[in-house]
Amino acid sequence: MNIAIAQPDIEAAEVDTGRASRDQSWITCEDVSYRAGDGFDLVIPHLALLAGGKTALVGGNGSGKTTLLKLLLGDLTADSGTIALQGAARGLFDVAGRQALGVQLQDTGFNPVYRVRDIFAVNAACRPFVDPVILELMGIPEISRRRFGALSSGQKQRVQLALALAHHPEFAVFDEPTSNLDPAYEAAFVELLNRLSQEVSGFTALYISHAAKVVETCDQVLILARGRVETHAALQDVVRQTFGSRAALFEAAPEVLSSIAASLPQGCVLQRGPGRLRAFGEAALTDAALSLAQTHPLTRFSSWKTCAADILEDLNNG
Amino acid sequence: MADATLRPGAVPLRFLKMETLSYLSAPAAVFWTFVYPIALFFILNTIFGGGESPSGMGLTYTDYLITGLAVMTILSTALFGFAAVLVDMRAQQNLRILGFMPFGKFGFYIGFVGSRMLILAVFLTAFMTGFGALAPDATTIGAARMVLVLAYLMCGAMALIGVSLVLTTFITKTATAQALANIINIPAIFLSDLFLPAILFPVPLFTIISHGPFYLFVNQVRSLFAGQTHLTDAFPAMVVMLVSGVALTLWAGRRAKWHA
Repeated sequence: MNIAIAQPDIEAAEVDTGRASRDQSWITCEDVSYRAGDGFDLVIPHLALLAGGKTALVGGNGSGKTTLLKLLLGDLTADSGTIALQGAARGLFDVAGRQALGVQLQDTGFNPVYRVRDIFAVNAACRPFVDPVILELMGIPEISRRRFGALSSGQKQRVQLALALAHHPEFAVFDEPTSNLDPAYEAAFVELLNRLSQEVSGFTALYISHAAKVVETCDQVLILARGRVETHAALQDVVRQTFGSRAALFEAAPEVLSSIAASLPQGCVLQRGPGRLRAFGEAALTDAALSLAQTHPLTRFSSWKTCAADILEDLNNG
Repeated sequence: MADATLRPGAVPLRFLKMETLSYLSAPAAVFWTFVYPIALFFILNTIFGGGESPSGMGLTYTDYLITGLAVMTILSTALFGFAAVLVDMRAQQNLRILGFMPFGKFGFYIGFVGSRMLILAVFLTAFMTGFGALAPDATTIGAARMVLVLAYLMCGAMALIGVSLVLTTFITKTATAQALANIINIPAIFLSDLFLPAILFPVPLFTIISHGPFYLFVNQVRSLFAGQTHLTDAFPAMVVMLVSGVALTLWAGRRAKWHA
């Protein structure tokens, strides 16, 4: 059960990351509304994702993440409002513009009979270059002779990620990029993102992800709830303003947790669950939590610097 | 970094290869395109062979079957090996990522259409020349006439594939595509004088059938096969079929979406 957390006063705001100005927006939504057949509606009065930024699009189930992505990619058409990409309505997706674009989507694939090497041969035939290191990192050579339909879900995901990144795109869109990856390839993907951020000037990306490692690579976070933009701000600002800089977790008997809660420094934000207490606060929390951990019978204790994982944990807990 | 010079035509050629291999590895496609017409030829020719063609023209029943089954192959390939496959690939989201790659839709469609045309051309050549030479009652025709018959068949195939491609732009569900393919295919193969003589039907039904496009097409093929029609007579129809097929393909290609 969550105790109410103070929301940052940066809701739905355009964030100046210092890297781009408003007229350098990659994606702009103005007065966009879309109503699905099941009654769900998505309303976005204004949203601008700046070129050069990496944005994590997060939210609970049914929050509208996939709907927003489909609107952005042109799979759905908004009932009203405008969606512009690179200043022109969906102009990014003309043939020439796709040279700078990388996309990975869930529930998509290729003709299952196509061999992996043929898919990459098509990709190579229409790109000025591909980076063989990225193909290596995603383990493509070892599956290149296999048919796409015979691959595991993780291998299919790697094929898509390699296709999305091998040409060093300036703009990239990912829908749960690590959902089927094993930890080694998840780490490789995060390494790739960091590498592209350094090597590709103005690398811009939008991720739908529930993976903390991926969200950590972003500089902005866009939180959707019930079809509305709840928060759009710099990731570190959201983390700091929502959770503070430090966190601690205590697991113990209920009466012990009550005693700890009463002893924590004032101003800490507490989340109480069955047999567990999470506390968020500033630097003073760490020393206090360590002291309490030494004097109380706990089954588990941990302390950490707050990060994107706390946002995701909070979303998972509703 | 692997740098490359982009070559025009490289993408369609890749898809031509991939789609040809894909087609040949699909059991249903192989059955309907290759096995079914050959099996039907053996069965029907064994039972009814030895006589004259129901369509006259000085042909034998074997000639009647060879030409009729060639047209049937074009029809079933256009419907089941083309329209239904394309709709299914789109419904399964198997084309979605291609839409984000830097080539136009025609890069894919030229390869997709080309693969079917290539398969049909090779099969029909083998089927007609093979049975024409080996079947006991088949009429032997010269190479020039055989080329003309095959060219006419391929022009018709292009028109049919164009129509199929147009249909795929309106259909999003695999089941709908398969149902529509059956609705068109079953009456077309039984009521177009392809292997079941239309002359046997009651006069009112025959009158209707004799105005059908597939009846007219197969009769023109037989007329060319029999040498009763020549290139100068068939050329206008070939141009119309070819141009309309290409135009329909271009129109549908522009309208087609990568996703359902």
